Amino acid sequence: MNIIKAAHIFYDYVLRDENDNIVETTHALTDFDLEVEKGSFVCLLGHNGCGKSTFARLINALNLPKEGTLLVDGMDTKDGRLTLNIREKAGMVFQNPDNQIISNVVEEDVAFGPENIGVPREEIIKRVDEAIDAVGMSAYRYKSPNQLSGGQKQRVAIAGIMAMRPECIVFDEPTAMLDPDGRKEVLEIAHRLNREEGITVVLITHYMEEAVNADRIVVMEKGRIALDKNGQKMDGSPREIFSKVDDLRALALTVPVITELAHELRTEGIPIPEGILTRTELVEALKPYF
Amino acid sequence: MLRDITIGQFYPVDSAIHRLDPRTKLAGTFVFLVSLFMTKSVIGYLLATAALVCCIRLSRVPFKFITKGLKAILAVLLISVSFNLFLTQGEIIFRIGFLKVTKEGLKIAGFMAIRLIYLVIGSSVMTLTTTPTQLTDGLEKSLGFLNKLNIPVHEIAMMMAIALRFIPILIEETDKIMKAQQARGADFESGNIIRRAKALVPILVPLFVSAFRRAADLANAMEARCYHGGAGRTKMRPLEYSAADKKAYIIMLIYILIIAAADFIGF
Repeated sequence: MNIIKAAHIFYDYVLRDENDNIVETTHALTDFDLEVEKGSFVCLLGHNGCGKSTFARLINALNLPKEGTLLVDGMDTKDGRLTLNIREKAGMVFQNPDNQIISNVVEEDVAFGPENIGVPREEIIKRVDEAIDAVGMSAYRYKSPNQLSGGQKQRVAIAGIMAMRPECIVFDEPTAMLDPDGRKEVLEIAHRLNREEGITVVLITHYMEEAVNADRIVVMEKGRIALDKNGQKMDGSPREIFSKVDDLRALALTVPVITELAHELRTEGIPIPEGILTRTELVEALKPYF
Repeated sequence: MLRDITIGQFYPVDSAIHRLDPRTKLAGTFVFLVSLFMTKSVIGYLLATAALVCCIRLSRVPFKFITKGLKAILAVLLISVSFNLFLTQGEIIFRIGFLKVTKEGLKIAGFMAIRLIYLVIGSSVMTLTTTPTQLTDGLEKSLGFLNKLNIPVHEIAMMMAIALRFIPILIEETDKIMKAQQARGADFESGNIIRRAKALVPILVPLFVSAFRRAADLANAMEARCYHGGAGRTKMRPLEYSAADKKAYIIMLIYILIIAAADFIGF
């Protein structure tokens, strides 16, 4: 079952001058296809301007595709009557933790989403309890977001989405403005929600290390899924994708440090397998040589 | 200087005042302000002082914290006091050059200063004991009748709540920008007023740009969380009056009646 189904999507950013004449058109998405299976953890990778954030905004019906259809749990994002249902189903966590928290009290901010969709009062309290608990912020329930660290703020933002009981959460570079500790916190929660609550996660990121534990990696380039040198779509498990070190380098992307080390060792003639992702794997692969 | 702005800040302790309904506190502040401008008698001011001191003690907010807000209005205070002091006609007490101080001027200036100070302290007590969300909820509910006049009360209340949320963030940002400009040799401290005002331009421009960017981000985040105006919205903690609120309203009524009476009798 696919929760997100994008078929032949086109999206342009159009820059107009004062007289409404088109000055510049940027093709953000060109004939883009992607299907995301329910309950999976998908990572969208790509260089700046490859269209990955644009796609995130389309999932949330913040923007509408110029051409093509995007179905979220079977609902067409172009249908204005379904917009709120779509946003309830597919929540979105943004990059800047400060700019997505509306209230001065953690609890009130988490309640913002359910209040908007008209959930009755007792039910809101129940959902807020659960959502704050799910991100481990119960101790900060009555605190002001201004007193929290970046990672904690981002967890509050995630709780705000969880309180709407979504089936899918799109994370648009949620860790870009966080320190390493905050980054770890947020990623752990994304994985836990995926594992324990069965929430589909679409993670958009610049950090290759964050993609290692995903179920699937999709590499984007110039508004579509990137191709490797054999003309295959760069879409698969982390092991498959990160074994294509040279293809990733051609797209100005790096691979996780461990994978890169393994790759360099291989090119130097040590016969270890491609696509090593973790330190333990590398140690295991190197053991026979000691 | 920026850190001294206590308006709109919340002081998180549990007190009788904190527990009151925001509508009660709004009404109370309004009554207090009306009483300040209504009274002309010394007794009236004494009563207002007593009421204010009682409220501050009950609120358990340290007095020092409340008076911090006064620094921000010091300039306004000095200007209005000196205008009243020097420009009121009447019985002259003494002169300094062409400036003359009159008995009436002294009295008016004194009252004016007390009024302004009490006004700021009174409203600080309200904002310090009420979370911004409660405050805007209270405003939204007590001004709900304006909806009939096609005034978008919910939207205005939401804007206020967001503005209050972003005050500390923007203050921090201003601080950062100032430091960044100072690191590159900008000078905000020396020179006359015009020079200093000019020096503010390199702070304000980046601040505005970033504020607009934040506003766009926030609008997106709100939409993504299904915000679509006030229609069909529910509340996690709807406002409800308690017994304490009723008592507070009765006290307010008695207070304003006594002040009116004192004025009428003419103390």
